[in-house]
Amino acid sequence: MWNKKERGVGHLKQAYDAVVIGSGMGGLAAGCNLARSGLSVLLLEQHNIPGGVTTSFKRGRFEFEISVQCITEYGSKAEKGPIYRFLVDDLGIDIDFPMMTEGRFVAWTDTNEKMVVPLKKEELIRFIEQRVPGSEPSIRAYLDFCDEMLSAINYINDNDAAIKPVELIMKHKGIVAAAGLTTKDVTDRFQIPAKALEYLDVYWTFIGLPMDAVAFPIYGTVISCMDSVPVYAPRKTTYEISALMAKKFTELGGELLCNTRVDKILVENGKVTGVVTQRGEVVKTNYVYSNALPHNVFNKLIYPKTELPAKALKRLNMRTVGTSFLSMYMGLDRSAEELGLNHYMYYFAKNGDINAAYAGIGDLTPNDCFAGMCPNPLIPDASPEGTCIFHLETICRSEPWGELSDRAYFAKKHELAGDLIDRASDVLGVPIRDHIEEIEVAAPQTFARYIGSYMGNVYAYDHRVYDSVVIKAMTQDKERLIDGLSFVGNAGLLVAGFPSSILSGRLATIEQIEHAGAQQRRA
Amino acid sequence: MAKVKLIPGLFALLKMAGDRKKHYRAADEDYRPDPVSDMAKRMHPESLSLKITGVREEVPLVKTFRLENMLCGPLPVFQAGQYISVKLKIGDTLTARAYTISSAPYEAEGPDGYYEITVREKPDGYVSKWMFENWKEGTEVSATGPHGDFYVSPLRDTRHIVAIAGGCGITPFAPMMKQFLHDRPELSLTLLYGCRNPEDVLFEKEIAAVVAAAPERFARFNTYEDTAGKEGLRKGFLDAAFIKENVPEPEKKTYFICGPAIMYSFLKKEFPKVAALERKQTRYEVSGAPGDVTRVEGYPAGKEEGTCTIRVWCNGAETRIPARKAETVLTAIERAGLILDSRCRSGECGICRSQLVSGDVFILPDGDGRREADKDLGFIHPCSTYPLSDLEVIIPPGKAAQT
Repeated sequence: MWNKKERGVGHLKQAYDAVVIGSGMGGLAAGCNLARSGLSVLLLEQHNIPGGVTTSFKRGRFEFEISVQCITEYGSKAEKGPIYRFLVDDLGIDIDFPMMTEGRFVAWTDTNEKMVVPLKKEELIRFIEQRVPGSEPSIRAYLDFCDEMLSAINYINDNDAAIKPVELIMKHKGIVAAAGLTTKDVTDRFQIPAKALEYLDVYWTFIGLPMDAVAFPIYGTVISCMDSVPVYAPRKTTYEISALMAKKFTELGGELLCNTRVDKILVENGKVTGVVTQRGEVVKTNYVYSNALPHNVFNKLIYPKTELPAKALKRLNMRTVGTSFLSMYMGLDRSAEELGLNHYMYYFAKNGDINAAYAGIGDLTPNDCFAGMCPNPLIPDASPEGTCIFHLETICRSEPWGELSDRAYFAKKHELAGDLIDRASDVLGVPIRDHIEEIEVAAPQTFARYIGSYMGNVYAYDHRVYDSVVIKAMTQDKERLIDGLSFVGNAGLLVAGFPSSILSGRLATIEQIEHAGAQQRRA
Repeated sequence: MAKVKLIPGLFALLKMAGDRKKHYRAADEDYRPDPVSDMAKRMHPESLSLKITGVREEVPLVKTFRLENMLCGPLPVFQAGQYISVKLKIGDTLTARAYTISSAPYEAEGPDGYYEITVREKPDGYVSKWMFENWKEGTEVSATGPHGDFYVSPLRDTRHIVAIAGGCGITPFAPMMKQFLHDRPELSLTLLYGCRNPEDVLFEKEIAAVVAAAPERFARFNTYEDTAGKEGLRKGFLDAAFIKENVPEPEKKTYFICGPAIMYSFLKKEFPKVAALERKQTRYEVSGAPGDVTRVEGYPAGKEEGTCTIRVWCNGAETRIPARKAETVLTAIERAGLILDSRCRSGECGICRSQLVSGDVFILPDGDGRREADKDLGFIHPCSTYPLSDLEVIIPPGKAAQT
C-alpha cells in the first residue's frame, strides 16, 4: 500500500522545481528522473490515463496495443541496454518482456515472395547471401557500421547534452563521418547489391522516410537495434510500462494530474516562469519539460506571444513534419494458430521499392505498403482463448486527412481500412473479415484527439539529414530558445520511437538535476 | 577498409550544416494551421452547450427533448446508436446520464441541426423525475459526446442487421433506420420490438414511414406482454420462436440488442435455439448499473447491509463521504457534491478511472472494462464498483456541470 507521502498527497502547490507537460514516455521519464533526484515535480496530462501513444484500449473482450511493436535497446540482465539501466536500475521497474526470436514476415506481392527476414545479424547475413550470392562481405561490413551508429547514440545518451564534437570524433568517428549522409549514400559506398538491400529496407516503416532521405545515423541505429541486441515484445501491452512509470513517479513524490491540459506556458524576459492549466490554476516553475511537440508549444502555448522569439517559428518551419498512421485494431474470433497467423511482425508491399511505397502515403488512396502485428504467437494470452489480435497499419501524411469533411471522414477511413484488410487477407489466405469480432480504426484525427499532437502526427519530425541527431546534439544550445523550456519525447534529441522517447526524458533533465545538486553542495 | 571515411564525412557534415542554414533562412515565421486537430475537436468537443428547443410526449411517461447547439456551428457528427452524456446538477449532486441520441445523424446537420434524446420517467428514478419537472423549452443543457461503440461497422457487421429492442431500448434503432434510408443504401434492417402493450410503442410513425419507403430493406415486428385485447397483435416474449418467425437465414445476420438487463439474460439463452451464432453476431448495448447489485452473480452474500465511509482524495484535497453498500462508488461521490467525470456509467469507457488505495469492493463482472495493468495496480472504474468496506480512493479532477 502507498503511504500518504508516497502518493504525493497535499494540496497542489504554488510552485514546483519542474513541471512536465504530457505523460508520454518522454514526460514520464523526465518526471521520474527529476523526482528521484529529490526535486518537486508536477506532471500534467490532458487525457484521463498516462502514456500518450504508449497505451492500450479496450473493446469487448480485447485489449489492444496502440502503437509499439517491439521494445529495443533494453538489452538483458547480462548485457544491460540503456532502457534496462534506466527502467530497472534507476527506477526499479522490472517488467518481464518476452523476447522476440523470429524476424519480420515480409510479402512482396509483385513477385509473390513470402519470407521471414531474420532478426539476428548472422542469420540475416546468411539469409541474404542465400538469395543474393556474393553479398555477404558488403552486408556484413554495412551491418557492422550500423552497430557503430547504435553505440554512438548510446554514447550521446549516456553523456548528456554536452556533446563536444572533438570527443565525438575521437570516440565515435563513424557517426560523425555519416552525419551528413543519407542511408542511400552509405549503402552506395558499401556497394551492396540492390536486391540485397531490399531485405534491409523493410524496417523503413519504423522511420517513415525513404532511404534517399533518411539520415543514416537514424536508420543505422534502427537496423542495429533489430539485429544486434535483443528485441522484446510488450506482454500486457505497453500501457503496463506507462502505468508502472506513473506509479513509480508518484511513489517518488511526484504529483501526477490527469484530465489536466496546460493552456499556457508563462514566459518573462525569455525565461519560463510557470504554467496555467485549463482550469486556470497557475503553477510557478522555472523549468518546463514538454512532451507536447514544439509545433503545439510555439503555435499555441507560449504566453504572452511577444515572448516567442521569431527564431522559434523559423526553426520549426524549416523542418518537415513527420507522419501519422492509419491503424486498425482487430479482435478476431479464432485463435492465431487456427487462422494461420504464425508471425508477430508483418510487412506487406508491392515490391522492395521503398521510394514508390513512400510516394503512396501522401494521398487518400489505397496503399499497397503496410505493416501488421499479431501478438498471440509470442504472447498466447494477449487475448482470450480461441481468439487473437491482428493489427494493420500504414504510414500516412496527415494533410489530406485534414481536407476531408467531418461527414466524409468516417466512410473514408473505413474504406481505406477495408482495403488493407482485403489485401492482407489475399496475401495470407486468411478470411479476416469473417472473423472480426471487434474493430477500431484510427486515423490522424484519432491520434490528434487522444495525444493532441500537431496534425495527429505520431512521428514528430522527419529525420532528414539536415535535421538529425548529430547536428541537433551539436547545436542544442541554440535550440533552447526559451530559458528553462526543453522538449522530450519524439521531438527530443534522438530518434522518434519508444526507447528514444524514454531516454530523451532522462537526457533532458540531467542539466537541471546537476544544477540542483551543485547548489545543494554549495549550501 | 572503412567505406565511409572521416575526412569526406566531415565535408558532408559541413555541407549538411550549410543545408541546415539554407533551410533555416528559407523558412517563414508564420503560425501553422492544424486542420486535423481542428476536426478532431469539432468531432469530439470537450463539452457541448445545448439548449432545449422542443419537448414532446411520445407516450405517457416518455418524453423526447430536442437539443440544439448554443454555440455557432453545427453539432458534431455521430453514428446512429451513439449517445451523449448529459451533465446534471440536482441539489448538491453533480451527476451525468448517458442517453442515446434518438434522432438521426442527418437531422444534426446544418445550422438548424439537432439531437433528440428520449427519456422514460421511472417511478423511482430521481434523475428522470427531476428532468421531467425541470427541463423546459429554453433550458440550457451541458453534455459531452457523442460517445459509444454501439453502431454498425461496415467492416465487422453483416449488411442486414437485426435490431432487437425492449421498451425504451428502441432509441438507437429509430435513428439507424432513418439514417440507413437516408444515405446507407447498402444496409437493411429488421426490427424486432418487444413492448408492454400497444400504447407503449415508441416512434411508431417514424418507423412505419421508413418501412413504407423501402419495404424490401426494412421490416418491423412487434410483440407485446399484453395486447390489451386488440386483434392481430402478437402476444408473448421476444424469444427464439419470434426471431425465427421473422428473420430469414438468421445465422447470417448481426444482431444489435438494446433493452433491460433481464432481456439480455433471457436472449442469451434463446439465441442458441435460433442458430449457431458466433459471439460477434450478437452485440449488446451496455445498460448501466443494475437495479439491485446484491442479486448479481458473484456478489458476496451478507455484505450488502449498511453504510461505509469513503475517503476521497482529489487534486490533493481530502473529503470523507458516506456511502451505501448497494450503490456504486461513483454515485456516492456524486451525492457528496464532488465532481467525477463519467460517460458510459457501465464500466466500459474508463473515463471515471480512479485509484483504489484501500478497502474491499465488488466489481460488476459484466462491467469490468479495466485494462490489465490497471487491474494489477488497483485502479477501479467507480461507475461499476461497489464498496464492501470503508474505502480510500484517489479520483482525477473533473469538470463541473453547468446546469
